[in-house]
Amino acid sequence: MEGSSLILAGINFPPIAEVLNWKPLAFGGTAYAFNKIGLLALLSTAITLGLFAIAGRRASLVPRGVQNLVESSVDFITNTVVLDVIGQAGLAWVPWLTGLFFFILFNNLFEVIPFIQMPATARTSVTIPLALIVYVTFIVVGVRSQGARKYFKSALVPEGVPVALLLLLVPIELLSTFIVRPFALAVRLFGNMLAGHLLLVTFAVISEALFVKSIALVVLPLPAAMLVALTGYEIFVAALQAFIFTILTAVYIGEALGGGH
Amino acid sequence: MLAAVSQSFNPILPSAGEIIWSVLSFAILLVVLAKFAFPPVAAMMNKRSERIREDLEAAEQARREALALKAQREEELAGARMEAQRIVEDARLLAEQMKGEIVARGHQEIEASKAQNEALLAAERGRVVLELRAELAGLAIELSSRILAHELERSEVDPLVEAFLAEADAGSR
Repeated sequence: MEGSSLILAGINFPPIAEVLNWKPLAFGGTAYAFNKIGLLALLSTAITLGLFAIAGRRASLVPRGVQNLVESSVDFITNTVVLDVIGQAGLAWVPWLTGLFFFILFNNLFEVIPFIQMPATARTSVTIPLALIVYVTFIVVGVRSQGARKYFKSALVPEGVPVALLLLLVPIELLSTFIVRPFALAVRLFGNMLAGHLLLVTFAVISEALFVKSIALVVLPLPAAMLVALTGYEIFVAALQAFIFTILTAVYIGEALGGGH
Repeated sequence: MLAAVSQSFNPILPSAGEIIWSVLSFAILLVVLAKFAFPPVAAMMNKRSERIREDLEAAEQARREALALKAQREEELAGARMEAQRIVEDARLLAEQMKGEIVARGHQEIEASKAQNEALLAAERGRVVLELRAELAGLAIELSSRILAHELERSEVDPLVEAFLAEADAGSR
């Protein structure tokens, strides 16, 4: 009884602000304060551009190393995301979607990188702007490729439905396409990454507490093993969420281009 | 202090600074990627696809050429075989013809040689007859002389012998 209270006393969960609210590194006190999240976003941009620069500069007919990695990713985006979802008309979107995929992937992966251990996408400051960019993009694409009238009609009024049902369906379509979509995109990514981040923090804190209170070292392997397993799982989640965000964006753009329904 | 921070901080609400920097990062990424970083990679991938397509086409072309060449070789081989047969047949016919000619010429030569030998034989026989005649005349004279025991003169006997031999000669023809 005394031991367990000792352990509980040793578990010192940090307040949520301590694992999410980063102090400004520069421009503190201004609207454009630059903190760890901004640094990670810039870092993911730099890593992505760096990989492409290496792949492009050392390009050989038989790809190896970084070139192979980058080309495989581009190939994956081209075939699995663009051609399968949008078709030939979407090939112009490959660079855009590749950039989106890598940006989200690296911002997610920072969750498990030692000494960084913070996914930038666990902040709505990153996911809401991304979702809004996608939102504006697919609406602009729809209006430009089909014309405003035809685009909004095709998006809101399903074909072959009795007029009476339209009273019900149009508001639903309006809600699902123009309101829920950006919200869902932003919240899905943010929620997954925040949950993963908090899980890792939790098990790290428990492991640390057990290690410090050496009396309970016997059960230390359990949360420590869980921490290792969750780290692996979070790597999978990082890739999966980047893929989901990218493929949903492709679906929306494909619909806007006129291939939907 | 920490409690105060956590109360004022809402983990769901975005912060202006983070929005600005993340949008800026993403904008830089898209612009630089689309303008500079992506094209070389895409160009290399297209080049590789093009190269593979060209290689496949070249292989197909080479295969077709090889097949055509094989057909041509087989045709030439069949032609050459027929030509060889024709040459052998011609040679056989020529050999037959030459054999006939050589045999005929041999026969002719044999005939000619036979006639020549016969002529030589006849001439030799004439010469022998003449020699025999002279010899016989001598022998007859000798014989007659011995028979007559020198009773007759040679000058008287010769015309008789000549006449006798002439008669004998006429009789032998």
